[in-house]
Amino acid sequence: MVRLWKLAPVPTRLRRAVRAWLDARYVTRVDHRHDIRDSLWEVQALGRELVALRREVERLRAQVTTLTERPRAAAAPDPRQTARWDEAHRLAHETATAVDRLLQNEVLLWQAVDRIDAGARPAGEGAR
Amino acid sequence: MRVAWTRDDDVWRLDFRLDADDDLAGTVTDGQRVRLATNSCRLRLPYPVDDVHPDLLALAAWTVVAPYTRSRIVFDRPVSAGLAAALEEGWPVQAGPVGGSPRSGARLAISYSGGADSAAVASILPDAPFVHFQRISHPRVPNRWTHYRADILAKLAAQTGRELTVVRSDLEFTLAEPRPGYPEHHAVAAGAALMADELDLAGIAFGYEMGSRWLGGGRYVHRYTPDNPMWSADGRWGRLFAAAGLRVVLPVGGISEATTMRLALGSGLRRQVRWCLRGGDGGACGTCGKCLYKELIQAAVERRPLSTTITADRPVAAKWQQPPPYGGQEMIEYGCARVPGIETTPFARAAEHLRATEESTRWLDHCYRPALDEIPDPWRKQIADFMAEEVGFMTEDEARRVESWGQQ
Repeated sequence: MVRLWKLAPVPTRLRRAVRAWLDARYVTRVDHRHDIRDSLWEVQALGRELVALRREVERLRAQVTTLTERPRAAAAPDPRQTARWDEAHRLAHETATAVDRLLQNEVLLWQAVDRIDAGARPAGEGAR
Repeated sequence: MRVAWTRDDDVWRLDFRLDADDDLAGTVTDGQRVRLATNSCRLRLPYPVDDVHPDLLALAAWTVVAPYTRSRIVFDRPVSAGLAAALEEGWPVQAGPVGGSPRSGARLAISYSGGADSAAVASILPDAPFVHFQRISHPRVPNRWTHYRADILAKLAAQTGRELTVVRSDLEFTLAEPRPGYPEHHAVAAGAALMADELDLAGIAFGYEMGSRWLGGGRYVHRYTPDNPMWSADGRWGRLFAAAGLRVVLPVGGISEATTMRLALGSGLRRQVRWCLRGGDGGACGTCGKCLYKELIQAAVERRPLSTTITADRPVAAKWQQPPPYGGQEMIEYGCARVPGIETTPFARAAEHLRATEESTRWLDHCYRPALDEIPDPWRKQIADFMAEEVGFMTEDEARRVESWGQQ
């Protein structure tokens, strides 16, 4: 269309009138370029937003999976804690066994005392 | 063995000393090997009781020290000649000193544990008072068995509304091995013995049923036992209790655990019946071996599928994956024959081995008559009438099933 002006001599008034008519009817090339650039920018911004949203969805989905699985596979307790529990259990067990032996030895000790003493002492005496 | 009782307010304390030939290792009347933990224990009575007949003190002491006593038992108070004689006839021991007079009483009390068997006894004897044994910790022995909820069982016994005497005792902790428990089965009645004069007792009724009395059940011998040393009326324990003026009475000695279960669940005590030692206020635990065994019987009585979360791979179900014999096998047969869908339960393997049918286990719904002959006169008629009315007696063929038990 621009080139038309160079091919045929057109009176200036007419040329202006035609251009004014065209300008009123169509967007200018500059404006058009702006519009395209704006749209492109917007598309790119939307693209970035979409990527961020998709990442957010993935993160939430992963969180849901771990939360639903948690009751089935409880998190392993702190190994330092379990070591202390094991130690307390061992100590309790060994102490109880030792007390058992101590008490039994006491019974045997009284038996030995009585053997020497030949039964003069009443059974209620001693061991409390 | 030498024993001595001392009283401090409501607590009677038993101390005992081993003779030179006694040992920490002992054998219970049923053959179980045990080991002594310590040589003292306590019985806390519901209120202070000044004086207890020496025969009763001797009887209570003997239920604790019998497994360890080899040749001699010396009491701190002279016992009656009859009691000393019962000891010397029943065990290879010398007993003394002798010098007291025998005692007597009039009433029958129930040794009430709260399980189905003693609840059945309670339904047969609706007016008899209860004596309940409650385990408490021993001050010298660390209690590693706090899951044993004796407090709950005592609470349930109180909720029955029956006349109740609770005796608290740590005597089970005199056993180191296999674990704390009654040194002799009869130790459950040690508290009843100490209260016998207060309650004017002439007899004590236990919940031991046909399996325990006649079929060598539980951990015993798995065969017909007319001469059962623990529970026959003229066995060594039966004669010893009688010598102390306290007859052993087994009102449910002629009926099976299926029948005691039916009677217990049909009685007014249904809501207080609890055979589980682990469950809390919310009810039985449902996960122990006892719960599994009793659930089989209850399901069979109620003719419904087994309701349990226990699977065949659980340790408590392990013995049912092995071939027989089983303790309480008659009840396993009864349950396997009656519970619908038994092939999907932990008893599937046992059911395959036993191949029991309703017909082959019908004898377990009836009463074995010779059990009634063992019940002392004053109480026999009431119990026999109850059996005739509520249970029915075995035919000769059915009685032969009892008498040939363990020979198949």
